[in-house]
Amino acid sequence: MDLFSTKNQQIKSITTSLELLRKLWTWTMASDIEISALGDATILGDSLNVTNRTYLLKQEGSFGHTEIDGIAVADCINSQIMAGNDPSNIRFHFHTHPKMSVFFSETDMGNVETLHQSMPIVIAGIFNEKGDTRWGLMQHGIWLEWELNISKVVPHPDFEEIQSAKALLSRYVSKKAHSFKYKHLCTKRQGKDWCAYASGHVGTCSFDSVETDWMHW
Amino acid sequence: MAASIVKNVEASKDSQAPTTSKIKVTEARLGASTKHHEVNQGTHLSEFLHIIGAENLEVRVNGEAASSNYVLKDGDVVVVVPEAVVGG
Repeated sequence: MDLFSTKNQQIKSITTSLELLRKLWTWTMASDIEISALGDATILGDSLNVTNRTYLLKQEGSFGHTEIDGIAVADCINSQIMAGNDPSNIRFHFHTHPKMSVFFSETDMGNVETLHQSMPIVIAGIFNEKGDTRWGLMQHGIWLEWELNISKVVPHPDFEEIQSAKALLSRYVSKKAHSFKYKHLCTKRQGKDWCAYASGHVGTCSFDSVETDWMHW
Repeated sequence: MAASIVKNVEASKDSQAPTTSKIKVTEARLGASTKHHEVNQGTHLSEFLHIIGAENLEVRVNGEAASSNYVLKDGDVVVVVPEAVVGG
């Protein structure tokens, strides 16, 4: 499936498989907290292919944050070298935005810039349970973004697949309680849910909101 | 007599030989091709990290944790990555 095309950069098109999109969508639906993974994306000429090879690693997550352990990443690279695989193909970062829209937050952009220090090309994807996906490509310091709803082209994950994914994720993901001063609490949601546009996205919040104290989630 | 001359020549060669031999160490990073470095035998991990500009990162040597004064060995694979890969 074609994800992207441009004429002015080294990478002019990006492709991936419906199988990968469905796997990542299933993982997204299987977790009510954010999760993340790394993956291979291979370059052939001016095309970047996000492959089905993904690395689900030890991580912590919450409703607004996901963090893959650095040691787990290092061990993943080491095992790829030992297996004779090229670690330079690990250039895809996937994470989820459960019950949120898909957008690259300040945290996400900081992460892309950190990765770009060693990765000449970084491809990042954010998914939510509705099948909304947002993608970003960083190459030579230039960042491009685009959005794609995969629900029209990828069959919806079924109950058994989601249950199976939950069991898989439970081996890698641990829940972390974060403390954070949310500037906005959606009054429209009567305190039952936190505003997706907290912190760095104050200006784009479409709901009426109030200041809150330190919150734990 | 001839044997004595040969011995002296060998001794002279030894005195001119470099005192530090080199070892090969592989550097690996996330999303980058591995790089091979030749460094002096006895190089500490902290010195190597300074050479490759990889301070303040998570480090593993041959898949294991290593202290900064670990003495690198020929064939070591040093993996350096960010302390965490995050999203939010």
